[in-house]
Amino acid sequence: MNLPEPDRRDFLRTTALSAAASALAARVAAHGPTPPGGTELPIVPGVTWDKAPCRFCGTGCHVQVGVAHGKVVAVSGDRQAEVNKGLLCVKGYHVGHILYGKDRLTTPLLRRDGKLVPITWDEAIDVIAQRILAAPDKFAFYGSGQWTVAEGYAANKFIKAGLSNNHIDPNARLCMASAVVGYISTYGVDEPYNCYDDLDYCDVLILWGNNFAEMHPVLFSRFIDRKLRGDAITLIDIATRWTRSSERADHVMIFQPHTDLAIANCIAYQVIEAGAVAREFVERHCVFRKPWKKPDDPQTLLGEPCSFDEYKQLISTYTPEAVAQMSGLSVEQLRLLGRLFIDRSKKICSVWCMGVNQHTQGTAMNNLLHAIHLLSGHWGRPGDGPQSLTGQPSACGTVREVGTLAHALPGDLRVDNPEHAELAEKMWNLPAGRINRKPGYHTVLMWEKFCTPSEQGGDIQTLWVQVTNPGQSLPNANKLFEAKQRLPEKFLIVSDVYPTTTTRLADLILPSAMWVEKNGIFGNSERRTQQWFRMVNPPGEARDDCWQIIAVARRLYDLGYPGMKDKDGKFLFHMTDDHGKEVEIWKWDQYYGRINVDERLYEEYRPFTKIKHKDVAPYSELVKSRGLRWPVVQQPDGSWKETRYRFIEGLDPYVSSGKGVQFYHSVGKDDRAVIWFRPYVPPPEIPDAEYPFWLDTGRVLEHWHTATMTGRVAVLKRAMPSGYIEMNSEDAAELGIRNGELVRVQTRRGALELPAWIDGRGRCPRGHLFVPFFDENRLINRLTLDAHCPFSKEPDYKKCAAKVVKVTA
Amino acid sequence: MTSGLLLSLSGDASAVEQALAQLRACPVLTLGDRQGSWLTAALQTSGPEESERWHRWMQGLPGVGDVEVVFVHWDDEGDRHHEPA
Repeated sequence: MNLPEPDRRDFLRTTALSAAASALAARVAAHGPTPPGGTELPIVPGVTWDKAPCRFCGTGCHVQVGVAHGKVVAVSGDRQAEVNKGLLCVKGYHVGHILYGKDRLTTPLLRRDGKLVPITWDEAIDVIAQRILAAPDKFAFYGSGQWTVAEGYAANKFIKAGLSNNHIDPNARLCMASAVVGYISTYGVDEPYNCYDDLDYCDVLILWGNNFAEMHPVLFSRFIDRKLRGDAITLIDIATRWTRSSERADHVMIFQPHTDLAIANCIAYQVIEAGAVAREFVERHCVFRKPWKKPDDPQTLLGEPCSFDEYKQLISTYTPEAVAQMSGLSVEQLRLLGRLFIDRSKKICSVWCMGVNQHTQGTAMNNLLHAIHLLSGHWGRPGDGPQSLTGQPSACGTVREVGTLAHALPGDLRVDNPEHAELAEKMWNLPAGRINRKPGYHTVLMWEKFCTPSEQGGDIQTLWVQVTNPGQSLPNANKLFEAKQRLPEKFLIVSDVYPTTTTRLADLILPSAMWVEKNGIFGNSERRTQQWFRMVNPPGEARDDCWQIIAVARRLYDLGYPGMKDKDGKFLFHMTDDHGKEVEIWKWDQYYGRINVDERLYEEYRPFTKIKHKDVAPYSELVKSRGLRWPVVQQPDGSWKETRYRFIEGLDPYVSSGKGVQFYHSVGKDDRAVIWFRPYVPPPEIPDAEYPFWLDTGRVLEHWHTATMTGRVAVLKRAMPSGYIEMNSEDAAELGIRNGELVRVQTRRGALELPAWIDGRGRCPRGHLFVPFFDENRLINRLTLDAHCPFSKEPDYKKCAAKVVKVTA
Repeated sequence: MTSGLLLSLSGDASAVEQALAQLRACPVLTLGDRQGSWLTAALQTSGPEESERWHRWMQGLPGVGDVEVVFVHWDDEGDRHHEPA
């Protein structure tokens, strides 16, 4: 339908108003699963619509993507999506534009004599295969929480079933590994028991080091919307600096970095002091543990059991008065937190993300957040519990569930558990012993081994990066990334959609398809698995990351590499059509053809998820839905039902009748959760006379992580064009620094010049600096610390010691 | 570029009324349904930069709590590609 321009504008205006009216209807019926009426798609001439999760964060908003003439031309919030109910944030608003930056990578490029030259895909695949054949044990894969489920599954199988070296780890190690270990060491199994519905039902929302307003804006507005409607709800922001989240908070509590452990312990102290322990719940469903501390033993995750009395004794030093001295919070603020947890009549939802996870005591801090909720009985009712959030769209789906971590196998299994490894070998039809029982290198170690000369123990020779930008996001990047420049024997392969800080040092660059240029499945922060179909073609020679992996695997198979065969001699990624004829999916012209490779890989993976009762839904059900929260279990009538709350009888189908609450994968195999005592442990680097400031790093609303996508969206780039350093106004005045002036920030690892932003969007307390990491021309991660949590191996990007001087001409 | 918006109105009645008056006078904005503290609107501009400017203007008005985007169509921008970062 071609309309004259004035009519067309009128038509689009009406369409926009109609879409907004539908979102309004959804808002009015805020607790309803589906907005009344108006779930139909906007009708725009020549535009066809299909669903997809947003490409950016871990929230998992669904969008409707409008396509015309082979291009994405429109985006609408998906009104059938329970997560976002038709709304989008400023990044989601522009998500369609990320496909069309003019510097898209469109052909494979190989570095020859220092210059990148175009080569064919066939040559590129051969280069990788030959590098692997030369030293399969020295090859590593660095992936991502932006990998789709099928991509991560293929990479995991390629490394663990094919190369048997386990050197695969994702960038999610840098953002949520502490949450993983926190869940496993508390409940015996990973991922939240609860879901975003808590935001609709809580009386109090506590943000633990989490700038919710900028990092998960749609979820934040879901809560704030209740405040605007007049609900008597309270927002508490426990943070190290003032942010946009603080602006909406009823109580802002600015604490000294790293003392969050003491604050959490202080809440536990007050609950015990007031006699407010949820005694019946704790006695029936919990046990206590403490760290195992012997002089000659390293700290272990297992720890040892302790009694309630012993726990009470250990916590007894965390009085409000003592913790006020450490944390910078007032005794009254600590008492306020204590009173909230003592009062069972109010439902408290705690949420956290990087502030808690990127922490040298990240696992411990996760344990403590679960502990204060379990101890006080603020656990299990909708709106009353602890819940971690993720930063990437499939950190949960691809990393945690598919198990693309160096120690993991799909379905929460471990390579170093012989029963698990044997089970995986059976499910993958592998010869016994094919899966290496030794975990591979975690992220920091992997890059350290890659950036260390071979003769000095740097035993990773070839590293393939997909869907991430470690050159900008790794901590202490001079050591863990830039050092590669001095090591000509090391070979870096990067699959990406745009040139990045990482491709700058790549020896081979592979152009990738992205988002709706390929089929995909993501898993969001609330256990929701989401599916979409390819809607447009990728540009030039760009191809799916999953195809790239399968093509390399097949080349190795053809070259006789035994690991690429199962125990019957079949290719690891053998697939047949409906007539039983093999489909040569390693050939690009057959990848999208007779079969849906994504569906085949997902259905091959799905049985793994049943082992620990994380049953993801059949692919066909995902196609019909806007995502389903696992475990998804078939009902007697043949329908499939998702699970909003785990471990609770009546809500979780795997809880035995009469149990009430059952932690059925518990650490002690006793159906009980663990309430951990975790002491305050000082950070590895603290400000001193030479480096007197705390340096904190993080994200901003306009850009997603390293801005490789949002940096191509002109309006977002203009809104936030470059990096800066936030300073406290009194600190700046003392140093003679005015707003916008160039300053030099230095740590023991490097230095960087940035313009100062004094009391701007974020406001630092005295002695505190903040620098966002999105700017590829101002790489703050050359300055950050690679010290990491001893259990999760997640680095601490949130605090190191720094000094600042004004740059004079 | 055409956007569908959902505005949350907040503050005292006079602030809301003043905000509504300014929104009604905005040349690129068409106001739609209002229910309680919510108001729907359509924004039509020459491109994303202009949309962003108006978005920030609305967001800064006393009486406007939040401006959320629920629909965006940019086909009228043609084939213009975006600058690299």
